[in-house]
Amino acid sequence: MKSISFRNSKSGRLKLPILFGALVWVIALAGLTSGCVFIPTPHYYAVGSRRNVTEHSTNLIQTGADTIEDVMLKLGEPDAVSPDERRIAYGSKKIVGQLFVVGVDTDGSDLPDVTQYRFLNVLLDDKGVVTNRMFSKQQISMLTGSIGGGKIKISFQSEWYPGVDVSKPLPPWGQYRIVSGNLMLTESALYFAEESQWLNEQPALSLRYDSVAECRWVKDGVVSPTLIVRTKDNHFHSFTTRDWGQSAQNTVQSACGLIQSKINPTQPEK
Amino acid sequence: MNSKFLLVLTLVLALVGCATTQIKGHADLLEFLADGKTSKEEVLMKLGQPSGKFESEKILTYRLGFDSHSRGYYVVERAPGMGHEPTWAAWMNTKYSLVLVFDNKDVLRKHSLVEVLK
Repeated sequence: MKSISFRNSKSGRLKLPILFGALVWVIALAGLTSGCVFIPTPHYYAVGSRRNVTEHSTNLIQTGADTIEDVMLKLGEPDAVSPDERRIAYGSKKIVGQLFVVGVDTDGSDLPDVTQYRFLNVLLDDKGVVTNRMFSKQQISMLTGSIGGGKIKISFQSEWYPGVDVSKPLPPWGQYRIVSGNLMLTESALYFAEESQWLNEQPALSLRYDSVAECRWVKDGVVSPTLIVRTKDNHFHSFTTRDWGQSAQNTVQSACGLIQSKINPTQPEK
Repeated sequence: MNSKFLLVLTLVLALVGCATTQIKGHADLLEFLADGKTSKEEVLMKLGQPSGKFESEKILTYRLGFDSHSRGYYVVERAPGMGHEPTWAAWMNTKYSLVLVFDNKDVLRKHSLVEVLK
């Protein structure tokens, strides 16, 4: 049988079966390690991403001189703001490649995009003057700071079930609602801001701890780690996390611990 | 006769199905803005609710699309972020961010039109 071969300048001949074998090994290795192969593409902005903020934008902002209005007049509306407006951020999202899932038959049109985020973070003092600005590739989910005059101690993305104790059977579908957003806890109150809200707006829920009768957290196979709060007038609020891991569990446990320490201040810590 | 009517009806329905709502911008949408003169009330009357309010509403922001046919602007509502990016709203159909800064008497002090999709 005649084998097809490539010319190689050093060794003379490089047989196709060797190349094919190497390729099979690479794909097999990729498949065994992650199941995916990253295919780099030219970088381009994702649909809906702003394009006017780059690494060079940091040079437009003068630390110690520019105010929040100067920054906005130069770069436009930010993408995120902290509840106390002492932090704003501008973000962009670029597609940098695609993931080829080994073993899945695809024509390439539905390959998942690999994205890269870029954020320009601007920190401001109490007078709204820029104290620092940084460009980062680390994804930011929300900007914390202080709210209602208190520093945010714990925050996480959450689904809020108003009037529902999720540790008990849920009411029939349609008789309760689920609100996506961010839960924020200070030393004196719990706040929930809806996803569609700016964080500097009046939060959808403000609950002072002195109105709370009970706080507990649950984790079972049905819901992700969840914080459940009962008010003194017997209203329930459940807040589920978006993650199921140990980190989410720790966060909810800490949140519950914080609330419990405020509603039962005399109770010794375990 | 019936077959002709059906043919016309089919064509009309097909054309209606293909039709898209054309957004028409207004070239003069922002002409009323004048630093030191325009009031916040006037802005709200003409542009509607802003997409963002900052510094106790001393700064208002609007998202604007641009229609290349009419060479005019139109106000775009801020869309909520996507599931995994909750607080990050997408800049869909938006080309500009209009930033308006008001003084203590709610009169426009400064403004700028920033191109976000360069």
